Amino acid sequence: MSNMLEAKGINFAYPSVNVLSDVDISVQAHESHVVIGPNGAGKTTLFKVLSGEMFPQSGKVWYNGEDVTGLDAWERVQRGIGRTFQVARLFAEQSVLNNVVLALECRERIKGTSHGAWWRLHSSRELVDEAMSRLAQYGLAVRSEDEAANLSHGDKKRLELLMTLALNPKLIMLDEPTAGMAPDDRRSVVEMINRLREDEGLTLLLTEHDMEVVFGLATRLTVMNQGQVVASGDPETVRRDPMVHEIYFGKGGSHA
Amino acid sequence: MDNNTTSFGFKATPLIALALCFAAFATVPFWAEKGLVFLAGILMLQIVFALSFNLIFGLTGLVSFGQAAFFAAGAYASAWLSSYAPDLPFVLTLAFGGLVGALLSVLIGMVALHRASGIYFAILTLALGQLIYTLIGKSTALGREDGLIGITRPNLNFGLFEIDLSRGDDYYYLIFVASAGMIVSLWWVWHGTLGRTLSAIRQEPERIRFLGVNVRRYREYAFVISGTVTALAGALLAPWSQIITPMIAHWSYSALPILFCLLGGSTRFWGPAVGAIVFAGLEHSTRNMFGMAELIVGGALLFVVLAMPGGILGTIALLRQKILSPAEGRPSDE
Repeated sequence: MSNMLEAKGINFAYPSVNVLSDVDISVQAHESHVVIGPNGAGKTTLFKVLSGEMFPQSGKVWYNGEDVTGLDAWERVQRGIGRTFQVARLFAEQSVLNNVVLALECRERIKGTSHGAWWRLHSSRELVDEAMSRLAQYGLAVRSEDEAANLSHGDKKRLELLMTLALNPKLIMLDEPTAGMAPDDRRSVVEMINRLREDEGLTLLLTEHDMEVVFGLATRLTVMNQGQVVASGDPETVRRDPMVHEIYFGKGGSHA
Repeated sequence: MDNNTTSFGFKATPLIALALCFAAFATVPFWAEKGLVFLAGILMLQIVFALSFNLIFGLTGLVSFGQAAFFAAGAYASAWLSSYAPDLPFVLTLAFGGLVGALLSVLIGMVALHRASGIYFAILTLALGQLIYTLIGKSTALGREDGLIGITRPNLNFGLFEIDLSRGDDYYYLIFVASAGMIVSLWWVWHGTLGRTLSAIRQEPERIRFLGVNVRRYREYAFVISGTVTALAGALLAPWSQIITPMIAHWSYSALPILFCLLGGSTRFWGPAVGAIVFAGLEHSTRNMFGMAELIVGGALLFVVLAMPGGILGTIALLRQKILSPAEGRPSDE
């Protein structure tokens, strides 16, 4: 297996605090790689650096062998990296359907087809139909006319994932996909994510706090603490690592 | 955006209002005295000015305080060219005004959009706008503080026939047709794919960035389209008023479209047009109340901005929704 996404020697500091020190991480094709660690370990900052939202002070990032360190987020997205946020970011004033259509129009614009052309007044029928069938797939078709702002927390996250998938990415980065969800919702998200990997061959990079979710979908784990990677490997090995136990699973409790 | 979620009756009301406005402007020279015709011409150009400004303000979500720079650039460039080369076809001098506005908006956009967030962008556009104002005021070729006077209304030569725009109300109708054309173009941009993308940038720039959109580039598109159309409006103004002074580049002139947008409602396409018309109406009806006019206009503005956060159109939509579906009581936008 080859490395799809790789980062070496990443350092990132805000003016007064060091957030990432010398972080290495590699994500292989078709794996479901979960980054865990206590709050403030630097997981979200690592996500920002890997997705191109922010640039590291030193270190390099490669995607499919190409050095993408200097590329902005939108350029990495165009190369096949998708990303969702801890708190779903949607076009709140638009209907659920229009959110998806907008994402599809972005995809078409990247491909350079007339479906996404700037002069087009109405969205193309084909894209609207595609958006509806994608919504139906995720059980959101009944909400298609509602404003995105009025969705429940879980549905917002589902919609954001759906929009990210609309671009047909190869790798998706999910920042705490089940945060703030009810247990039933969590299970359905885990199932959905596993299906993405198994059926559609997507590569996943996630952060997650809920240990049930983590061990429900991880094929590889990276543990971070205080801006450093302290362990990496398959879930069982990491679970047995005494150091990980001490800093993360410590004091006998789970971190959920 | 003005895609109202309610799908009840009254749908025709906005169309009827639009048709009435169109008819009113089309017939002004037939029923109004000369002074009013002149004001109507100015008002049409101010509507275009405000609508084009709202492309970056209400749609893209950028607060610029330097829009007057483009209006002045268009006016001065075309007026200067028509006096320098009076034999050039008028369409060319007009296009020159638009081109200068476009170039200027590319330059200002490049600098100002470097810091697109809130106050930095506002201050940068204000500073650059005032720079243009100062440059015009110091330029001998542009008449310094006195401006350019005696700008002639042109002849339109179509080969087979000629239209002498200095005659009667012909120039008024040129403004009318040109404004309608520019408004249709702006309407198209606002409601089309490009407009939806710009609105998405205002609502959630990070999401649209992670849908593969170069946000900076799209803000530049909006800025340049807006600046170019504003400059064309300015270029049309010069022969109409026949005198232009550096005041049309002053920051207080940049405040006008902001005022119109807030008054009419910036989240809707027609909002700034409604704002401009209401403002002109207020100004005209209080013109003889010496000393009181500013007070009344200012008070009315204060009332609208404080009591009607969605502007006039936003409030109308809210009232309509309350009347039609009192049970829901959900705000229509914002």
